Amino acid sequence: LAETTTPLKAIDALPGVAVGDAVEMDVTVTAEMNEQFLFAQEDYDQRYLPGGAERPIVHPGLLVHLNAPGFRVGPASGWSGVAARDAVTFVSPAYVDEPLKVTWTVAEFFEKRNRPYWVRESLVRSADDGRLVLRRRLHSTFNRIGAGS
Amino acid sequence: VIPPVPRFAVGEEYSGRPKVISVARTRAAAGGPWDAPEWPFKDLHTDDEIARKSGFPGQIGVGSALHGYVIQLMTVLFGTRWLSHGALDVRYLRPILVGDVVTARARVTRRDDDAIGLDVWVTDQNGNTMMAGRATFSAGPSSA
Repeated sequence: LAETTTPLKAIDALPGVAVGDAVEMDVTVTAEMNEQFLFAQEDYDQRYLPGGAERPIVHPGLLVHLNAPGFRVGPASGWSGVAARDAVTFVSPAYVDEPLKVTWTVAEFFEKRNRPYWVRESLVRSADDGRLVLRRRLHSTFNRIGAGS
Repeated sequence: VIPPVPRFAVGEEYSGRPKVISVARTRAAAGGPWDAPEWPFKDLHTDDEIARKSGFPGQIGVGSALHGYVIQLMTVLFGTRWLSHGALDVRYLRPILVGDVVTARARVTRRDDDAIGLDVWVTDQNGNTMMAGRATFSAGPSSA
């Protein structure tokens, strides 16, 4: 059975944020940033490392993480955010030191089981040649700090 | 254990190496750049008090780490081609806690001329499913 959701125009955890809001940011993943993420993931495949690949690739998990909750927009004081559903399509690799354009758009607010959710759609593109690197749709929800989960 | 040459027969299962959710690795994922003056940024991934006030028993791991473990399994199975032919759609079912040991797993559910479909999930040391969803590896490039 499909779960019932109720569309919302705004949610308390994100004051001032509205459906349709969009942000673009420039990101260049350096070798240091990539290696920090490789440490976090315990994934030291040669394709990501200088010396291991002719042109080291940015770890795809880091590309996803660039759009993570709290990277640019955090919840209001008294709330904490938690990822709920994550759909990512990988279209092409990105390379270390390659300038990237990361955009995300607030696609939807809704309530399900008395919890507020927001949905963001994001794109990562190469700033050099415009090619699409990945496409993502992320659902997140919130906990009120001090009220339990 | 991942077979050296996966056949991707329907029903075949693969798993990644178990990963310990440690404080250091969680801070590396969620604390911001190591050289940031305010590192680590404080949130429920890096600060016990904030996590407890949010209803968790302590610092929770980063959901995207689970995502990353599945991506790692997919790149082991499909190589770098995953980065131009792969897609994931997953749901985070339970918070992971610092100290948990998690393992990414996959089972082939579909194989045809156009794509390989897999169920993917991540379990903790008690067998609980922490994240679950589907992965698709397309024969052609992912649609732009």
